[in-house]
Amino acid sequence: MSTGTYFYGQLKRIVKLFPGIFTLSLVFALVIGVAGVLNARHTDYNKVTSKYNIGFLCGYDDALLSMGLQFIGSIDDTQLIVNTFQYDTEEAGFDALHNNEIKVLVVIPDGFMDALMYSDDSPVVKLYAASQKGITTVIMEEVINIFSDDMVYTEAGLYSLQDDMKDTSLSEEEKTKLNDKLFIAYMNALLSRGLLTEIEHIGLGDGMSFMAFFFCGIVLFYTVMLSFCSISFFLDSHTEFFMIARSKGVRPSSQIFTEYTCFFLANLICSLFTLFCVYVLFAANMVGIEEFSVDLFPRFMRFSGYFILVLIELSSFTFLLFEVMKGIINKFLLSFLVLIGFSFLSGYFYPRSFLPETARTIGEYLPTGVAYNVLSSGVTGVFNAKNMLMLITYTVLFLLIAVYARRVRIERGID
Amino acid sequence: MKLKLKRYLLLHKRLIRRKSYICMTLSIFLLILVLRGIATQDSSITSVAIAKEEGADEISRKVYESLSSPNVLIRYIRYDTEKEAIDAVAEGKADEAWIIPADLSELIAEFAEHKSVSKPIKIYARDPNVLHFFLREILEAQLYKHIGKLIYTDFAEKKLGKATADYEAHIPDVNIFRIYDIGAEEPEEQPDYVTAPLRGFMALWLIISAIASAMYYISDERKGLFIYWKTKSPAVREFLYIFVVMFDSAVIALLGLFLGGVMTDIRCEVPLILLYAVTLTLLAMIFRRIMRNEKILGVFTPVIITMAATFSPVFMDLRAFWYIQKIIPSYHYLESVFDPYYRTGMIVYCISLLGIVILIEGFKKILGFKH
Repeated sequence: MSTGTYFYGQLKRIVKLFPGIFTLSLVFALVIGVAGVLNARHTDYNKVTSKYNIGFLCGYDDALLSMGLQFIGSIDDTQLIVNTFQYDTEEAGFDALHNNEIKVLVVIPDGFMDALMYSDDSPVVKLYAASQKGITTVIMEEVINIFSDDMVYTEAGLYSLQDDMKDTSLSEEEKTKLNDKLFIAYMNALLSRGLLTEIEHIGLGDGMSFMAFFFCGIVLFYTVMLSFCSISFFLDSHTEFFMIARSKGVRPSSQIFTEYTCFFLANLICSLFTLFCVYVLFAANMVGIEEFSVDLFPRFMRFSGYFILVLIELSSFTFLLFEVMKGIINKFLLSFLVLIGFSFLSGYFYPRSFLPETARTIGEYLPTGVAYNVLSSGVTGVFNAKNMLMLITYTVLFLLIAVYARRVRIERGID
Repeated sequence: MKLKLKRYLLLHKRLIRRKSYICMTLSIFLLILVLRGIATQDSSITSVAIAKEEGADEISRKVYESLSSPNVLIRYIRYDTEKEAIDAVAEGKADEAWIIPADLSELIAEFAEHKSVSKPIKIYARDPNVLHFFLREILEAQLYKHIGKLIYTDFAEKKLGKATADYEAHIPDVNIFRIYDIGAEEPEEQPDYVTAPLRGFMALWLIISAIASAMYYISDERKGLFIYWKTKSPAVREFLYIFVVMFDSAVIALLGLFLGGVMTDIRCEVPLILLYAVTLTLLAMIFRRIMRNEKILGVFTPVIITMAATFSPVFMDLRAFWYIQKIIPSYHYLESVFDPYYRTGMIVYCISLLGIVILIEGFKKILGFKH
């Protein structure tokens, strides 16, 4: 049997499986695409339409506090990203939390401001979020800390003025007027605080926009999962067949390279079709990413070119996993766990910058991380020789290990 | 009873001899180790490059120092010059650059008097997005500390001829905000945001265990294991078989939560995870009836896990598409842990799955299908 005959045989196998592979790849593309879009919109810092809804439960005994909350929700710049809701009862507040009307409920106890300024025991403001701490609650905490700081420094000035006015001969009416004037001065300062700073946008440079980060993550996760569509190709082959092929002159290296080529071709056709659909969505302005907003066709072609290189590497990685893992359950579940873990560390679900430095470094050098770096180059147009070299090295290494694994498998079968 | 116990122990022994199950279990502990390891290091959601101009005055130095302590939201990276800080942003090493002016005292005094400044503090960012709004607010809050005092001092001196009150005495030095779980009397020690997804990972891992157990059952049924275990109710046998796997997995998951430092009250954790295990057992039985083949089950595993990860609070708390969320078992479990409100929903979901299994069995008997 020649290598060509063996290759033709494998090609016939994959062609027979291709309708199922293609259908499944579309299902994956749809599920992962929807998941990615939802994820991006949920953490989409590009659009102020994704406002954070914060509920407040407080008494109305403190006029400054009530006014401050109204100020946040209607006058201040924070109204661009935060919606505030006030509730009279705990029941109403918690109902709103459970009905997803608010993300966080802030419960301010009665007499809060007086206790804060004059009591030895600091009052406690309770924050309730409906689920466990994550990035959203971290941001919520920080937003509320900012509000509390503004409130505290304002109130500190007002109470300091009241301390100064105690020894004076001013009437109550005059004291109230002075207090109100100082309060207005503080409100003017808070409303004008945006003038303290000036943001200059220097352009994306070598970096990517936030949406581009997500786009690369979605595309790569799809690429990783795509291999599962072709898993039947690996389940139906047996050691005895490889032994027969070997005995007829098809060496393990030839077996591996021909099988890998067929596997890669199936992945390539499925992913090119998916990329074409994505291109159509870009062209119809149904998906917007800054990097593709001008010169769409040449930039998308460049991106597709880099994608094919990444597909070669990731296909070789998953090929190795399926070759090495024995048994149906291992092939599916263990491979899946490995790929999910690598994808997490490589920044497919969260930007890698969220992770500590050690994790970022590990993620960068994993095969999935190298794939991310190379695909990013396809978006930014900045070629990185080191990443490309690592990509090629990983591809060659995985295929060589697969050859070795096949050889061992055949020899064990013979023994 | 003795026979039942013997069967349980045999099934259990069979399970722990499976290399795939051992590997799956080890992967969980590896995940916990990795997450605990990286959680001990400094991490933050954004990074800000800060630099101060030459000849910084007292307030400039104070603000610069106060911006150096790391917090969960921001990692501050110090640079010696403005150019280095801007380059860091351009190269993607930082999300933003803040250049602290040398004459910050004058800037604050100008703002306190006129409510505007002639030379605003420069912030450099790559692209406009809402995150920069938050970061700018944090910087302005640091400045407002000094502005607040100056506004009081100027006003009191103008109107009263004196400003002798102790402004700092009115500023509390404790964190007055505490995070509580709904229904809890005491504030919870919230886990680091890096380890926070661990519970979600456990929930997904238990779904994978359920799929694995369905595969094991299909495999053992094909090999004729149940020839030696005759029963009038194959569905009950199947439930018990799969529940052995899920019970062991639930124990491992509980241990994982404890080692990962994300466990809450054990009096809630144990019943909830057992209920979740029962729910997943029933779900595995439904999957086995729909996808009668290990290959089909395996191929749809990524789809199932992707949907579970998207619509339950593993990486994000989406709170949309409730009609899809309600059919995801991990959604019910993860929400129930922190909010008693969702526990009824979880029980109803479990009973619904039981109803579906009973319905399918009923139809099969009516239509005369073999198990």
